[in-house]
Amino acid sequence: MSNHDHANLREELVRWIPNLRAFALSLTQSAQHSDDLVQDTLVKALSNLDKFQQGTNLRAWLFTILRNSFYNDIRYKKYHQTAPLDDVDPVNLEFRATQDKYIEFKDVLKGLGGLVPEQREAIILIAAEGLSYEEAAVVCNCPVGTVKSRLSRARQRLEEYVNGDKLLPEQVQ
Amino acid sequence: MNETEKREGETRVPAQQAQQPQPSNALNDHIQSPRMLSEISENAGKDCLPRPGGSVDGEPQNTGSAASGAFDEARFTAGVVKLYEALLKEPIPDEMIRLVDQLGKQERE
Repeated sequence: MSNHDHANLREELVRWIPNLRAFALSLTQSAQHSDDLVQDTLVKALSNLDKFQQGTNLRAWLFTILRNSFYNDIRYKKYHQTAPLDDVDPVNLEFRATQDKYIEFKDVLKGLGGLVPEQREAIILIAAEGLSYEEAAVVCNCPVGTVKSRLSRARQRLEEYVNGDKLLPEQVQ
Repeated sequence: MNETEKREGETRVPAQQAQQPQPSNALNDHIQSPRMLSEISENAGKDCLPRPGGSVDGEPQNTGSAASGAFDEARFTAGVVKLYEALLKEPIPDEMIRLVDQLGKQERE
C-alpha cells in the first residue's frame, strides 16, 4: 500500500469518526468510555492500515475493531466492573448532549440501557447505521441468524419492560 | 471481508449518513424510512403480540402512544434513529484529529 493510499485511508477514516463515536456510545452508554474506545480504535486501525484490504468495507472494519475493544474492556473489567453484561444501569447513563436532548431521548436511552450490549449493537448497526444483516454479522463475528435472533430478542425484551413483565435495571434491587 | 459487500434489499441509514464518505462499496444507497424491529427481526410478522388497544382480531398495532403503556415499536425505532442522527452531528473532538495527524506523521517518518 502506497503512502498515497495510506493518506486517503486516513482521510476516509476521519470521516467515519462520528459514526464510531455514535456506535461506541450506544455500546458503552458512557461518553467518557466511548471516546476512549474510539481513540483506542483509531490507534489500532492506523497501526494496522496495511492489514486493511483495499476495496473492502472500511466502516465494517473499523466497527469490528471498536467492538472487539469494547468486549475486551468488558472482559478485563476495565469499565463496568460490577455490572453484568445484561444489567447496565441506566442511572449511570452519561450523555454528552444537552439536558434538553437527554430528556428528549430519555425513553430511548432507557430502552437501550435495558438491553444487553449484543442486542443494542444489533439494533444500532441495522436500524440506525443501515448495515445489512451480513455486514452486521461480520462486525459482530457471528452468523447472520444470530444477528436476527438478537433483534428479535431485543424487541421482546423491550416489550416485556414496557408491559411490566420485567423490571428495568434501575428498578432491580 | 468480501461478505461485507453483500446487502439486503431493505436497509436504511440516517439522513446525516448521506453526508458521510462513500466507502469503496457505497453503503449508502439504502431506503430512507426507519424499519421497525419486527420488520428487521427474524420473526417479522410472526411474533407480533396483540397490544393493549390493538384491534379485536389481535392484529398488532404500533400506532399507540407511550401513554398507552404498550411498547410502541415504531416510535422507539424512530427515536433510536433520531438519537443516532443527533450523535452523528456532533463535531469530532480536536484530540481525535490530532491523534490521527500524529500517527500519520509518525508513519511517514
